[in-house]
Amino acid sequence: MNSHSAHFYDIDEAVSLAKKLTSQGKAAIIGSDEPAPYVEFGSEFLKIEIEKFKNAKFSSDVPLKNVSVKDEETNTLATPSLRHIESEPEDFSKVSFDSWEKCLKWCNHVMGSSASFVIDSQGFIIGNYGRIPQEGLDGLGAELCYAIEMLDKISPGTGKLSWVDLEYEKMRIVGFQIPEEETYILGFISPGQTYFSKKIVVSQVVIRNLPDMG
Amino acid sequence: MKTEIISFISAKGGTGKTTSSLNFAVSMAEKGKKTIIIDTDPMGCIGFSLAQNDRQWQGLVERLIKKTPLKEVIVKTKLENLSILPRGRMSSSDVSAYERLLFSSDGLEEVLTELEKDYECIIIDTPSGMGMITTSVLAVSNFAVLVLQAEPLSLRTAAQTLSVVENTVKNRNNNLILLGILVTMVDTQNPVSKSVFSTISNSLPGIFETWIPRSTAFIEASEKGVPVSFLTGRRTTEMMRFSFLAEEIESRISDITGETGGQDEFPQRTLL
Repeated sequence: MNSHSAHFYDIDEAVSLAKKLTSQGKAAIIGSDEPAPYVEFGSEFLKIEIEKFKNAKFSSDVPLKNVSVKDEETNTLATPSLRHIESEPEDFSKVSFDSWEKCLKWCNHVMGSSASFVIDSQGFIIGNYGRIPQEGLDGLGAELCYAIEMLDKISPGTGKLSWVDLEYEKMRIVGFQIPEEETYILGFISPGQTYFSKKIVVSQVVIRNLPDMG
Repeated sequence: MKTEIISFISAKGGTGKTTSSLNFAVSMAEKGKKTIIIDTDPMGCIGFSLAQNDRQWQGLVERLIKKTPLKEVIVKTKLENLSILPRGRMSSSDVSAYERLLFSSDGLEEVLTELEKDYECIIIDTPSGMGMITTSVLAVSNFAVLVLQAEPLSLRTAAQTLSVVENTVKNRNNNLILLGILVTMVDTQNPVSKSVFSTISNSLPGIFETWIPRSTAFIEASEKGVPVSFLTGRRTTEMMRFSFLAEEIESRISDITGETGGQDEFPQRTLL
């Protein structure tokens, strides 16, 4: 039994990965581009087969019978249907909100961000939603406000800057300056991969709802 | 309030993820941390561990599908700081739909965003395997704990689990850190188990000093539907192991985040 060495269990790869994944070695992973020893599935394999899935029949559609539970009340409660998990395309013309809180929640959902925030014209954060970074947003908000002010000057005569995309090594920050008299900037931290295509929708819906937001 | 989101993962089944995450959650709560454990396992093993019927509790599924408010599906326990977000009432035939739902929506992230307001520690129990649920959970966690059974098959699959963590760090969650590897079901009377434990301890970095023995106490606790530290009688080492684990995990998090806990801060004193 003593002959069972690490090599016997072929854990060299596990050792190498564990070294990289613990806090000290983690930096080596991000950006590393070592060839994988396995066949790589491209992202197209991860796409959900929506149509196939929509038409699937779920057992929760079938009435529950012969359910034996302690609490009689639970007998009557059907399991929630999973039929609608791929929702219908949202009609954005009907989206409305009357507060920054609701606005940020919606924007966060649409952009697929980990967090969203709004800055007033003075650079102060007046609302946020989502998973706020440990270091907070105050510094980020003020700097983003300042950066947009500076970037506005790059090309005079081309109108007000509306969107900025900042790609950092470990994070993406996207800012949207609402082109109205009273300037607000919406910020999105680590938006989802399809965020770019959502910019127009976010712009239109936010501008339309701006008069209703206190 | 800074919230730590810790997921317990393992590619192999039956390694003790649920038992470990549940008892660890109890220890964190007993230390005074506002803690919630989320059961993302389609089998709903947290409920079963606590001797609850499959359809007893509403939970994550109701929240995701019916938009039931979280406060209506969270189960408050008799332990002051511990709550449970159970799996919910779901037919076992809908598992694949549930997996796709967690993977393709941001429902889990929304749930966590809400919970972060009220809890300091969110522990996520995952199903075995490294499929859509585990990868979705890793994508929203701060930390992962790999649960490794002290048996050959578990050790041989460790690299698979770790490579999924690596992939998640690369592509979905740069902030994820492998907190450590928890060795479970160590049978000191069994030479193979001892040998595997020795190999793990000597080879893999990040092993927690606390390890969990194979013990009848866990079977007894499971039979009674309670965490192991809730069993009657004298405190055994099995009961205390998760307190040690909680200490160790807190200490590692402090080392990583650079934050020292309030209780570690003492004022300068004079003796004379």
